Amino acid sequence: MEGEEDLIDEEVTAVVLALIVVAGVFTFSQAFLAGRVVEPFSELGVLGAEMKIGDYPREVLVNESFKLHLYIGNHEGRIMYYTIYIKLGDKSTLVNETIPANTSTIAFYEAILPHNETVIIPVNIRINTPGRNLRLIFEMWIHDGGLLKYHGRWCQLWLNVTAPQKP
Amino acid sequence: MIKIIPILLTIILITSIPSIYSQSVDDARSYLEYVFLRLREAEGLGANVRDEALMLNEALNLIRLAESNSSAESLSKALSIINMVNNSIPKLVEEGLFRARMNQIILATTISLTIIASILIYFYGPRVLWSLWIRARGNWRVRRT
Repeated sequence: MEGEEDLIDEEVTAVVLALIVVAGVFTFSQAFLAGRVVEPFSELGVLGAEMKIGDYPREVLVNESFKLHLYIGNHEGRIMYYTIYIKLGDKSTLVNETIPANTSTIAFYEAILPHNETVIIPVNIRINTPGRNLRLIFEMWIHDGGLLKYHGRWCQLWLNVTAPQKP
Repeated sequence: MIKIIPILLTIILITSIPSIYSQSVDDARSYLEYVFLRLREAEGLGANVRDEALMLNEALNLIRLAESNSSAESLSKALSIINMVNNSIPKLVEEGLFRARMNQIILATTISLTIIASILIYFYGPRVLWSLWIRARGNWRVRRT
């Protein structure tokens, strides 16, 4: 009978210990991770004239102004100063996460955002050269320690730019 | 000859205004970048710089406006906002350091209390559990089935 009582006490102690360990790990992890950004990232998106994904222009005229929106989000865990370059390229233009496009910049936009803040910037673009399968390339650059650095985020919009027909 | 001098001076003044203006826009940009770096440093020290960052963004938009339409008013407004942010940084840092110290104290207290609670539960938990169990079910009657 005495041995049985001891056994029950040991089982209860083990359960209590297990609960303490689980609660302790949870408490410590919450205390250490509170306010820390585990995976910092920035967002760059291009929205159409109505601020939607999908209403993008496909065909525009030379020198015709068309409207887009830039969506920028900061989840880097610190204040960020972004510059978005809009460049005009074509299908042969090389751009990826490490190499920015080596082509002409047609406009640039800037934003300073605190952590966990997003902004939508209206953008009016006008292209003065005709061409088929042109790419509007949007690159995200950041101001870091007084230097402007390519941040590796980019997106693109395929366009046909046609010259207006003469009457 | 004497009549030409004021005309020449006027021409020099008029032609130099855009370059002076563009110089001041460049200066405003440099100042903004300097304050941005200071603000980031302050944030690193624990300061909450959210509102000031949004103010700097507003100043940046005003500088861009000044660049596009040569508005001296926009530029002066931008400079005044940047100045305000720059002047608020020491106070932000002070608050941030205080908050960081408080967070450390809260963290240390939480860890200490958790350890103390764990020890107490480990040693007294089973006894408390069984005494509660007895109190709850001590007057139960056992019926033979």
